[in-house]
Amino acid sequence: MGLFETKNLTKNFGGLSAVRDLSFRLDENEIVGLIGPNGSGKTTVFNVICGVYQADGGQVVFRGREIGRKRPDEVVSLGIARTFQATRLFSERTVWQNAIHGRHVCTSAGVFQAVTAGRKGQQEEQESEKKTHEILGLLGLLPYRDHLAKNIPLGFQRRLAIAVALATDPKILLLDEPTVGMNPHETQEMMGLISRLRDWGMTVLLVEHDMKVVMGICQRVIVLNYGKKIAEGSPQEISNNREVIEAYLGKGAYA
Amino acid sequence: MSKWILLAVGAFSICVPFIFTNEYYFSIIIMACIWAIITVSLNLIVGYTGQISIAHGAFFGIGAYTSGLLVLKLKLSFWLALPMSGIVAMIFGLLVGYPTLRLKGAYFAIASMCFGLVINVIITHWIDLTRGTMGLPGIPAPNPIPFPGIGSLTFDSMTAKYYLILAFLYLTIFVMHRIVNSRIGRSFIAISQDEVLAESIGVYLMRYKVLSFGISAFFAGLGGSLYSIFFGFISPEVSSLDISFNALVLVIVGGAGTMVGPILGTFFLVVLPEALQVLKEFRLVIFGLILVLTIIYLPTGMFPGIQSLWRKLLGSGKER
Repeated sequence: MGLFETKNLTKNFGGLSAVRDLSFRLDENEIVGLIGPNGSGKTTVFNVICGVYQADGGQVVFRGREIGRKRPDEVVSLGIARTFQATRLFSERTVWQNAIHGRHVCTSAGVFQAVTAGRKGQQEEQESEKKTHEILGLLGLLPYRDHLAKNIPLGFQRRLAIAVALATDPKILLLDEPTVGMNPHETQEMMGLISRLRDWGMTVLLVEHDMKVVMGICQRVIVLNYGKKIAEGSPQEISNNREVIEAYLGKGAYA
Repeated sequence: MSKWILLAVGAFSICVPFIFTNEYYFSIIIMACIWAIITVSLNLIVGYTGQISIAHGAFFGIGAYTSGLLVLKLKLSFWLALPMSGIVAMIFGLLVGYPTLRLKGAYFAIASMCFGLVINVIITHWIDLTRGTMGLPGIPAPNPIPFPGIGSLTFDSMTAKYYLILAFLYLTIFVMHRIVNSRIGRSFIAISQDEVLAESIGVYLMRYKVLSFGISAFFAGLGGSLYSIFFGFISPEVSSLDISFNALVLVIVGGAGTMVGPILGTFFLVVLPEALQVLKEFRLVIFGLILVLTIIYLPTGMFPGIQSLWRKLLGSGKER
């Protein structure tokens, strides 16, 4: 049994089917790329998995449990965290505050604990601070600790978005185009970082446009076109697949 | 530094009855303290959670009437009526918050305003219960607290009522401070910054918005109860929209989402009109001018404005 699986996932927007009958699985500790031309339904897949959209058909199974009807906050608490396209951060908060926001699901102190400054709440808080420090250290964000998120360079903002997601202690990380708009140097660094996520025990599902990134770090690649899976396999297999090349470059391009 | 300022303010607040011996000025200070309870509690939902509520006057009125009716009709002790008024206001807050907090931005503001209007209409027209516009006169001072052997603490004098109200203002500030600096407060702030991101890190939006609204309503209710014993008379005016709007102005002008801002705004804008009495009809012009200038030049409020000015003066401009 895999760690995570979608079975015949379908999502329609009115007459448009954004995701059609999509089945794929993620195994423990692998980096899987999800690619496809613009509008092929990659981000919709993310939104369905995370509970932002309800699927019109099919199942999402995580650790043997159906999670297709869960709310976004419940999905995170189960262990699936995500980042957003074009970087979403608490921009008026500092780097440190952003990351510690991510600890929300791992803590449980209520209002009573807060008002009385109870021991349980204090312990949790210390634990959160330790973990936040660790994550910021791993991602090289400690030098920017007290800077406002909106004021740090783009490359670091992207890392911070990953740090916030990591702070929720996920098992699976869904990254939505983490290198878009980056220069080659920043892209290289981001690739190194994503590879390291794997060493830290993370399973990563990566939506990406940049073929170099996908070919460089993914063990497996899933290709979508018009919401349908048209190919799946190792990066080498994918790059020689006729259908994939046609989807990207048009019919007749395969030579 | 800030510790010394806090101590000085604390000491000053204790000395107020000896400084303002004029009963009129003293009563204005007491009124400002009641207003501060309203604005500090409103700040939780408006400033920290980012949901503009125009229902706070209603919670204040609910608190005042709960307390007044319990004391006058059921002959309950004020010390029981006081927490009850907070709890009743909170229950209203939770019940109203649950459906309306799904709305975003201005739509929630409008819905909360409608709730405020409805409460005002009910209080005005449910004459059998509230005596309508005639109001509830003769609300007695809180029962004395006996201290065996020493005597008892009575609350008949204005000074005693001042200390009672001041104590509850400090309690409100203390509780808000603790909440805002906890995990709960952090989730409120996350919601005010970006709801989509907050949800993606596991904050159940509805639960935390409703919680913030409920806590906020609880303290407004307490404020209403304290108001009822200070004046000894309440009328439907205590739940009017004016209170909701004024409280919102005080919070925003003072500095929403900061602990000091609403308190500063309240004392400044409650005391100022009185200080300008000598100018007769021009005082509203000056008052309006100050509001406009604050909004234009200190859009985040007086307190954050003063803070950044202070930093610039010290030259440690850590504008990062």
